[in-house]
Amino acid sequence: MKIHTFKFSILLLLAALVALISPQISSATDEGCELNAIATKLQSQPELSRFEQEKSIKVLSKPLYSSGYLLLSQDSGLVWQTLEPIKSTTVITDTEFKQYNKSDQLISLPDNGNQPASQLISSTFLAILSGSFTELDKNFTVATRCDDSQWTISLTPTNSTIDNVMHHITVTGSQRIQRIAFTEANDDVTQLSFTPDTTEHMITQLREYLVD
Amino acid sequence: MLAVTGWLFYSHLTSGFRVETNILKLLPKTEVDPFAEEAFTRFSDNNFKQIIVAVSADDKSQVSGAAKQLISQLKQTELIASFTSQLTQKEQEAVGKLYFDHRFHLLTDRDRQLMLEQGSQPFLDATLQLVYSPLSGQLIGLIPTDPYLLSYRYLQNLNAKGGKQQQGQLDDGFILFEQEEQYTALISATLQTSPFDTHTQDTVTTLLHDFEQNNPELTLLKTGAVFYAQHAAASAKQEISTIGLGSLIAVILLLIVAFRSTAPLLLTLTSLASGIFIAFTVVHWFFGSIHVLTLVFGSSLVGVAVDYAFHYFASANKHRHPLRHILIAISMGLVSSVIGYIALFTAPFPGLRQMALFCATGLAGAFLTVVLLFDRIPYRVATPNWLLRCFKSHLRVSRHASNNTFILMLLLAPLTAGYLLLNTEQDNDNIRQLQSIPPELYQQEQQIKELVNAPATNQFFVVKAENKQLLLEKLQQLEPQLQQLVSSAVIDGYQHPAQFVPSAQQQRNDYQLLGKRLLNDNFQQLLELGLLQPAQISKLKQNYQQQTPLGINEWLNSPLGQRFNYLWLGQIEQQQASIITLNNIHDLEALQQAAQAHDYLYFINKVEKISTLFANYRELALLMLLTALGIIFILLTVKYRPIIAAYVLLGPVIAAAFAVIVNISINGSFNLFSTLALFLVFGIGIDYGLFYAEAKTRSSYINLAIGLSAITTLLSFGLLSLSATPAIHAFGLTMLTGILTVFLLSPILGHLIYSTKGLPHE
Repeated sequence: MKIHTFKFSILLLLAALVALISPQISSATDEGCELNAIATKLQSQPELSRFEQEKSIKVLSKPLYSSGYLLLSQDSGLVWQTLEPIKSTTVITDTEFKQYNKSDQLISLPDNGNQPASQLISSTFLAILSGSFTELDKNFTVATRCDDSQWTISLTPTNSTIDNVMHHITVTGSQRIQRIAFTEANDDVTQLSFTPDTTEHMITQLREYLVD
Repeated sequence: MLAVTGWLFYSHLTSGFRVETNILKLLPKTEVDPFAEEAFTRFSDNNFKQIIVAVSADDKSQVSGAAKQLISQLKQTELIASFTSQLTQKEQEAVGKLYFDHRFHLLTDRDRQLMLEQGSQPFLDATLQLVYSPLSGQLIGLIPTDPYLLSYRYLQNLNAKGGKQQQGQLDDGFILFEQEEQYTALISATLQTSPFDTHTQDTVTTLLHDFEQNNPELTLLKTGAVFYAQHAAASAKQEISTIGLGSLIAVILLLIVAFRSTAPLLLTLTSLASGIFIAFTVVHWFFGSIHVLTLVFGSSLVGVAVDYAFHYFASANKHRHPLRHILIAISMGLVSSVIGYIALFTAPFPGLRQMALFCATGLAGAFLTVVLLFDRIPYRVATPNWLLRCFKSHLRVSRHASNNTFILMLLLAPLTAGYLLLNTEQDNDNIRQLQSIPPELYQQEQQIKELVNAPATNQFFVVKAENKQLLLEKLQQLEPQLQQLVSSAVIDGYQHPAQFVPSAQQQRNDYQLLGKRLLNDNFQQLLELGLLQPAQISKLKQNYQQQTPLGINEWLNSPLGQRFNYLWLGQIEQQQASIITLNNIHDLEALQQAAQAHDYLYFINKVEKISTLFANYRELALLMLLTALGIIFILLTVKYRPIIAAYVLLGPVIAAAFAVIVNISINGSFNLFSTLALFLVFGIGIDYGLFYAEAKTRSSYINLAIGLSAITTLLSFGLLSLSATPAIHAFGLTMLTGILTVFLLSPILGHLIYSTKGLPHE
């Protein structure tokens, strides 16, 4: 691998660490398809969802697949647990960003839990997944599209620093969020799809991450 | 002699006068070890040159526009060496490359532990986790050359050690960040020249002032030694002119009223001018520059130097050529003052020595002018009768008090003063005494400190070793102890070069530890996923074999090293030295103790050191004063009867006692600067006593001379006590109370001296 790829990576990494999302409000929407209207359609997000992730990375011939569970808690944040192919757990709350390795040990990588910048990125993530769309138009240019059964929100960062990390986010759903896709700055694309799930022991298990 | 002085003055004039405003230049060296002293000087020289300006408003583009404008204005002054900010993208790239190029030599403490205990698996797991986490796709490109993500992990750790990071947006030369709908641009710069350079001070302050005026919608905060120095210099200059001018006007008015003739006025001014001229020239010649505080203290010399002239002209009411009648009195006066100053001059304290030399030569100059010039100029003086009557009645009133009961009562004052001195907390011997700190500047500094996490500038560790590698090793050895200090909340954080560049030995060990894993790893999982190609693995192992460790010089030349170059002091006295900066100190005692455990570790605490030093000098000065008092008494007994000598000295002793009492009751302490004022109180007080002791007859002209002299002295020092600089205020207050007491006591003691000498009443 050539050195410039590395430079690029570290650059983006550091840019991500100092990223600041700026408030700029602008939205282009159809009648009855504003963020607020969509938020109303989105009655409530299920507490537990199963997710499938497909990452298309330019340098790799085949995409990377992974899957796991997402637990949303109304007041205390979210737990993102990848189970396949390797277990890893990310906990995001208003104030914290924690990662656990496959043996459920708290790890320091990426050790930026106390960095306000990455906290901002994770809170954006938290806002999208929990359907708190009203906060998004602070940080992104928002475009929406609605038809009978579905709506789509397109988010483009207004801040150049966050644009260095991510170019575009698309969220699709009806009464709940069905798909999220985002294009990273190096044109790698990540697609996530969600299915509601009620597996009782998963809920119990994931809730424990929020306790400590 | 005038010619010599004139020539000296001229030669200084052509080479330019240096008026020093750096307070540290007044102080003696505080560190016993010259090594620590030099370390402090290098560190503080760097610190002093820093300035930080914060521009805020609620409009983002306005703030960044203003910041750009301010930066370009600052650049135009050509006084700024560089603008320091967070790393630009280009610099981040360079730093990233630097650590990437040495990645096989660099393990964080935690990673080393992990590698030793669990091998490379946790590293590969972390890599995989990152690959599959939704947001970390960017690092995938790094995997073929750094599958354990060592460079990323090391940089992450450095970031965390950087302490509180500003989540600011980087722009050209400044950082922009948002806080509660308020945008702030932070500009930090390093000055090209010394912050104590007058031109630099004026230019930078005026520029910022104008900028603030032109942009009233912006809030501007600033901090840096240059602003404090500028304020101190400006207030000192203002005080010099107020005090100097105030006492000068008083002298002129008094002379006109008291002698009703222009000759005494011109002669007295000549005497003062030559005194100050000689003092200035000699001090400048001796020290190579003159400190602005010396000038402030020196400007009050007017009040003392005028004594000789007043005594001369008062006597001229009665005698045609009064010099021979007063010569002995004023000579003795000069000698006693000079003895006091010589005592002061012996202190190894540059500031005190300058002031002592200034006063001693100034007095001598004024004295010589009186002696050599005054009798040669023809003039007539006629003191108006009403004025004489005033002093006569003062004299008459005083006679009632001149009895033994009153004198015995007065002796209570020194006892009280002594008691107070022994029982007062002496916490006022502080360097801040020397500088008037404007509250708004101090407040701005505090506000900026909330935005940037700046290390303490007056307290830090210095580490020394025989060579660079040993130095880095020693810093590493201290690491557990430093972490202990953080966890026990003695400090909030620290920084030293070994956090950025591990010692060669450490790097060698880490390299070998990594090699064992890396060379034998088959990277199965990464290969299967296609994140790594077989050819890349052999390239990786080849890279490992060829890699060299990270050197300190290489780091110092990097953008990161340039930001932190103040941590590396380099060579001092055949030793290599480095700084450990400390953030938010909570317990000074613990740091002191930590340093005592190692002979290569110094804890530098400048504020504390200076305070202790001032306290020591205060004691020393008091002791010297007492010694001088003894010597003067002995000298006086050669000429006078012991009882007269005692009366001469009693005035200043009582005055000093009152000064101590008043100072302690107003300021709550008696500090070094008040002690210095006592030297002047003694000089002047003894003058007054001697005028009586030398009198052949009871004469109200002596009272006239003393009265006039006291009024000018009181005026000039009364003004000093209004100074914003605490040290000068204490000095002025001591003088005010001391001289007032001496003035009121002198006719009382004068009567006693007269009676002892058997002089009849008028």
